[in-house]
Amino acid sequence: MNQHIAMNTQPKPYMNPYLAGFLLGLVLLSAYMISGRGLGASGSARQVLVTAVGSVAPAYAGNSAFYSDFFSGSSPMMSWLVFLGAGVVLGGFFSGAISGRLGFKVERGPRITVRTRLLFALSGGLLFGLGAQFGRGCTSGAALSGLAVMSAGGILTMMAIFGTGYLIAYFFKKLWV
Amino acid sequence: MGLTANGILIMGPFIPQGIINPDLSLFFALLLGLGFGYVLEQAGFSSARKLAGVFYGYDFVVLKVFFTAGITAMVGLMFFSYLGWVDMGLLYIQPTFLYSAILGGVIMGFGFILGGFCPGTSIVGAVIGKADAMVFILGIFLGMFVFGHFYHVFEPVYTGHFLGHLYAYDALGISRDWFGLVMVLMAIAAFVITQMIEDRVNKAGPEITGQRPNYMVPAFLIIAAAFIFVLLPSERKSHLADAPPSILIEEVLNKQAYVSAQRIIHQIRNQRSELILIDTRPEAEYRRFTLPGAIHLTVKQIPERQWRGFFNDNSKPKVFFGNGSSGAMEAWMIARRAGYRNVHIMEGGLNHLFGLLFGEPTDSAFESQDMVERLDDRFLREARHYFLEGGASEKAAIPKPHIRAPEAREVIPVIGGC
Amino acid sequence: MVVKELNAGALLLFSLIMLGVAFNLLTARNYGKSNQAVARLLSEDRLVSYMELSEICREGSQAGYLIVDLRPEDEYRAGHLPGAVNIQWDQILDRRHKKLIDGQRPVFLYADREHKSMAARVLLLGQGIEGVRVIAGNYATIKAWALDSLEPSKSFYHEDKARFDFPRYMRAAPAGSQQTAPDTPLVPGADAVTPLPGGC
Repeated sequence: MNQHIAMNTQPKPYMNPYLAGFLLGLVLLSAYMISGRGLGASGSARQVLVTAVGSVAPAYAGNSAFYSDFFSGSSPMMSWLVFLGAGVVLGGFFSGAISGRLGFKVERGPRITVRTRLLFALSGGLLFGLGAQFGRGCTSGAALSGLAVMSAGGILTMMAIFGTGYLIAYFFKKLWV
Repeated sequence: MGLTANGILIMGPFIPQGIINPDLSLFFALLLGLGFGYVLEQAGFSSARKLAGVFYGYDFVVLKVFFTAGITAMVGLMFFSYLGWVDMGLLYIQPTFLYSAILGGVIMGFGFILGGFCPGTSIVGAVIGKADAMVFILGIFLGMFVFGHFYHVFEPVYTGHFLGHLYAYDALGISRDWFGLVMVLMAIAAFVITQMIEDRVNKAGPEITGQRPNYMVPAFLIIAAAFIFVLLPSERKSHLADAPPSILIEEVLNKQAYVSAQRIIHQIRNQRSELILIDTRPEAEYRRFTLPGAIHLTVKQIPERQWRGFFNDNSKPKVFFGNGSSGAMEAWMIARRAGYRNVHIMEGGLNHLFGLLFGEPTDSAFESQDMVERLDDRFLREARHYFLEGGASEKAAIPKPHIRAPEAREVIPVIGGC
Repeated sequence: MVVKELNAGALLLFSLIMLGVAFNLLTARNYGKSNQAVARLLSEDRLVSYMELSEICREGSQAGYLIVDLRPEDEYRAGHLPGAVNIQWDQILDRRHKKLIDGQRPVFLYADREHKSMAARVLLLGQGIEGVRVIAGNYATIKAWALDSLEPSKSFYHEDKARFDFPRYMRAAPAGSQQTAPDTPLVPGADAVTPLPGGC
């Protein structure tokens, strides 16, 4: 009986990576054909941040060119990037739900505690948020989309991300294996 | 799509070209995001340990999904561009700011190793309940806030060493098709090599490797597809949009191709800008003198990709002129063949226009009972004064139309990419 | 073992590409040269000057050239250049003239307006026929200045030459100051007949 339940809650296996890549390629191609731009995620986070800071502390936001979008007239929330991000949320949830992967948990390497993992996740996110601004896009916006249209900047950023990752991977081995 | 409807070429990208109503763009954004998020989660990108595997050799799923998606979309875009169904010049490509692009990549590399996610994957991780992904997103907001707070410090790096909207194949000096093929071959080679590394790290025995699917067919097909574009001539002799010779001949015969010099004089005298005047004479002559509001284009520039948007905008007729009509006729033939519809030749060119204004006055017209000719004559006298008094030479009288020249490519505001 | 969906997808994409390429090759209109190539070739070697033409006529070596009169048949009958054949302008691409314009001999074109000869040259270039040149001016000017007697001042005449010093007439001159009488048009005979030289 117990075994039966365990069988039922076992998440479905992940999709074949090449098939997933092929499908993602088709989504990316449609994005370019329909809107003329690629996919991305960090852009929507920025729009949300700009809106939040602009609403809470307009005086502070008014001092920085970074928040100029907020004062450009139309709401930054009603933008392509934000709706794309909202779609990612819905699509991810839908996929997790049908594959039985929903559930609150912290994923970590075998040699670290939950607290360490969360601390490093926070600092990793901080660096990614900062780096995505310099790189004018994250792994999806700059690297993946850049590869599809063969943009020099995008491919350069991609090489920098993975090159750095491999260079320093050894020093952070404890986090993951 | 791609076919000619009522003779107007329809091509992508659909929203910037106005084929899909821009009001619907947010709906499509949601739809595309849905597909994006679904595939990311299905591929296993909601798991940080799976993602980080790419750096430690135990799981190369990131690389596999990433490169497969990249080359699929790339080959697809090359295909649509070959058919003329998408204007590559209208696709958004990030501006290349050299140091900023590298610095950003390095910082993101650190972020990837420490956090195990990237922004897109952290979203799908968070929505299925991964607490580490939620914290990662919080970190992203913090990082962006830091960037915003110290923007004035970062700005020189952020906007320094601007190389323009640069394509990788242009930077390397090879053709786009060859670059595409090289990328596809590199991706396939990377798949093979990383699979070998993965097997060694995971100590996979034959019981696993023997179960592995055979990818020969898709690998062969994508290489073949990329290779086809190398074989096909990049400069096609004929395009679907081309107007056939019979139409060119017909429009010259029924005079649809011409605009009278009187109409040009009218436009200049009344300071209108109903027609866009295009000077086809050598540049030195254009610099020395041209009609008010006229822009300069050589015959060689007309079929170039970056002028497509300018010529496809049919709201105003475009009129080619030269000293006579020969050079203008050549320009018209090239533009009309390319499928541009609202293009014309100024009858007789500048010689005729100035001949009308300043040539020997035709007394017969003055005596004529024909009202139209009388009016014409009065108008010409009046216009003559106008020209001589310098009214026509005021460059500001008729503003030059805004045109999208190659270097004047519309700068899309830097909105953090993605 | 194979991943069926991946194979099917790749096969679908590939066959789509092949179909698109085939469709494209089949539906392409019959131009023999790309528009870009034509645009590049246009400026090369386009005009036959009166100097050159009168030399050829004097030597009697017209047989080495195919001189094509593009005017209507009645005008051709009323008088044409020695050795010229008549192909009406709108029939320049007709199949029955293909043999005549075979690229063996350099082709010279002339018509009732120079820009129409130019148009014919572009059409022929589009079919991949190179070595076609245009005799400057129209039949009237050719006859007057090259055949009857070569006028040295006109030996390099063509219609795209500026006949006025344009800036003089468009300068911001102080009000009331009158300019002197402009140059008279340079084609006395031809222009008197057709007062609006732009029309064709």
